[in-house]
Amino acid sequence: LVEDDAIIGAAIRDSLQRDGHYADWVTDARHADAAFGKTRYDLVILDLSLPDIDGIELLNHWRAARHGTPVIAVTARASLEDKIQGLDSGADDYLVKPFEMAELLARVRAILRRPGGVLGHLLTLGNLELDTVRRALKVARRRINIPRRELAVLELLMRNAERVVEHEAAMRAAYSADEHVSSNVMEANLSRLRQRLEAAGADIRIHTIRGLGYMIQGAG
Amino acid sequence: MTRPRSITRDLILRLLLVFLLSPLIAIPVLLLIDDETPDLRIEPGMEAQADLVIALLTDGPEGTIVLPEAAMKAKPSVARTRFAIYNGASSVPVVRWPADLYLHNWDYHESYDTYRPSRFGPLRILFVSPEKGSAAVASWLEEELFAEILPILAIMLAATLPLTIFSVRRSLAPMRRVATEAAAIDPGMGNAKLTEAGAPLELLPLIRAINRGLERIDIVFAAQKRFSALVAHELRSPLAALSVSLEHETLNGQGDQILKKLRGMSKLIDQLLILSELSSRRLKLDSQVDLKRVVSEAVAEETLAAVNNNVSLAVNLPDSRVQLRGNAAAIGTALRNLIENAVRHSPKGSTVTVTAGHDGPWLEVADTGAGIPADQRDSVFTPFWRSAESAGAGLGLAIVRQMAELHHARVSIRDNLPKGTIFRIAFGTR
Repeated sequence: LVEDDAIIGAAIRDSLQRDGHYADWVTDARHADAAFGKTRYDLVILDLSLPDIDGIELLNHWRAARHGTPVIAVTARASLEDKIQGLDSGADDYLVKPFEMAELLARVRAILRRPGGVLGHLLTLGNLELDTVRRALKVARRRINIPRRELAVLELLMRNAERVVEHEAAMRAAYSADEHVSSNVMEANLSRLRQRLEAAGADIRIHTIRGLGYMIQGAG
Repeated sequence: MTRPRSITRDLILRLLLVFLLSPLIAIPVLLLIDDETPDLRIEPGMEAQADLVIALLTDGPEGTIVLPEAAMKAKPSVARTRFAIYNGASSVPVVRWPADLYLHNWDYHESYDTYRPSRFGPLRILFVSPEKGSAAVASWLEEELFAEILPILAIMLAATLPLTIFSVRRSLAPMRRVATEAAAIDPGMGNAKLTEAGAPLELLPLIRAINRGLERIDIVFAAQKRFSALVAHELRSPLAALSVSLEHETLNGQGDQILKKLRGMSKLIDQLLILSELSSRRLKLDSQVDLKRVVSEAVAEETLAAVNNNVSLAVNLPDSRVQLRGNAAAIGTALRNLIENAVRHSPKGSTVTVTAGHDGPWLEVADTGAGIPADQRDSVFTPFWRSAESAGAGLGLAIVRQMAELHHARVSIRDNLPKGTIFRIAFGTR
């Protein structure tokens, strides 16, 4: 965590800890660069307005050195141009201050849930628990069986919980490129998946955004 | 940088050339014309004509000498001449040809004198130039100026005019280049300057003055941008600290109220900053925008807030690409404001539909809410305008209108049948 504001820094660090993560917190780019060189972090939360070096510059420096560590950029500047600049310079996500802590934590989890990320192996949402290696789904601690394609879509949705997964991405997850299937098939798959999960007592909702894609959301 | 070219020097040199050329052509031409007019003093035929005249003379009554007119007319070469014949030392001519010949002073300047012995005694024949005075000028005008000199001058003019025009236009070409450059200057460019290299001497002070002006404007622009960024940072950071620590401490019911207020304020600051960014015209507006992508991203970003409000979103995009030139971030922000607005005014369980079309292109956001009365449709775009039941800051639609203006797009509102409102942004109205 690279954040020069004492209150925000402390709040983020504590919230991350409460959410089960451990974070090192530095307050300027110099220390950030030093820490980054010593430790293999799973994720960096980087405030772009730092007292010494511009955060974007630091990010460019890291990306130029081919460090692939995911970065969530946080900024209070947020002009329309800054946003594009921030994402162009290699930030994986971009958050404008003031943000809701829940939002930041959701984005942290989303990035860590990527395949290969620390949370990428065992995905949890509500009372759903998906072991992506053993291909095993538990609802409220009880194992249920669902077909391979539906599981693949569910995995993709859970990796991107509370974010829209576009229809094409869901199709790619469930079907290989040479399988020519009607795009209506996905809606059918999802309605069967919804029925199965509901029957098993899952407390999640899968929304359809007609014409765009799908989004899974935990209860509450 | 090469030595600056001077328009004055160019023009003077080229025009001087033209002026030097015309007399140079005119003098030999005039000399040639002059050569063709008979010079009485050196004309060899004059002596022969004198002999002819003497031969024609006959006796008149009372010892006078007469030149018979009919005989003269028969010899056209002599008939064209003008002369007076004097007898001995007398100063009064005994014969005049033509009969009404009157000798002016100037006639003596260019005359041809010859003497002949005759049976009337020694005679002096004085040939004068064919015609003199106003009649001569008129005939000169007619015969030489109009018939010969003017056509030559016209030909010269015709030959030199294109050259002159070409020269002046060539000399002034740098001005047109600078004008083209100046016309392309846009606030979004930042650090825009007119090129000094290659500009002529006369234009340099103007270019430098404009560049200094642009620099000052750039400074103000940059200052304004820094100010906005500073305001953004200075306002947002304490707000962020406050809301984060409030959230963190999980206060009682009152804390929620404060948090809500704080979030409202944050939102207001966001929208003010976006509005000021849009009105400052410093945005780049010439990028290729994939409108379908903009719609997908905006809808994706608004989906969580919508489903939390129990409103579904739907997207209706054509299969073909929908592209336009503009600023994707600005269009996306405007669209998100429209979606957010629509979601806020939609009944629970209803759907807000975003549609895009490539003929224009255009965007529509349709809700099934209470609708907007016709008499309020203009005022909804005014900053801080709020309907009685609206919970927003009142800047969302002002942002939409500002974005539309930047893109020369038109925003219109119509009823969604049977219920609700459709906002339409029509691009390509330029």
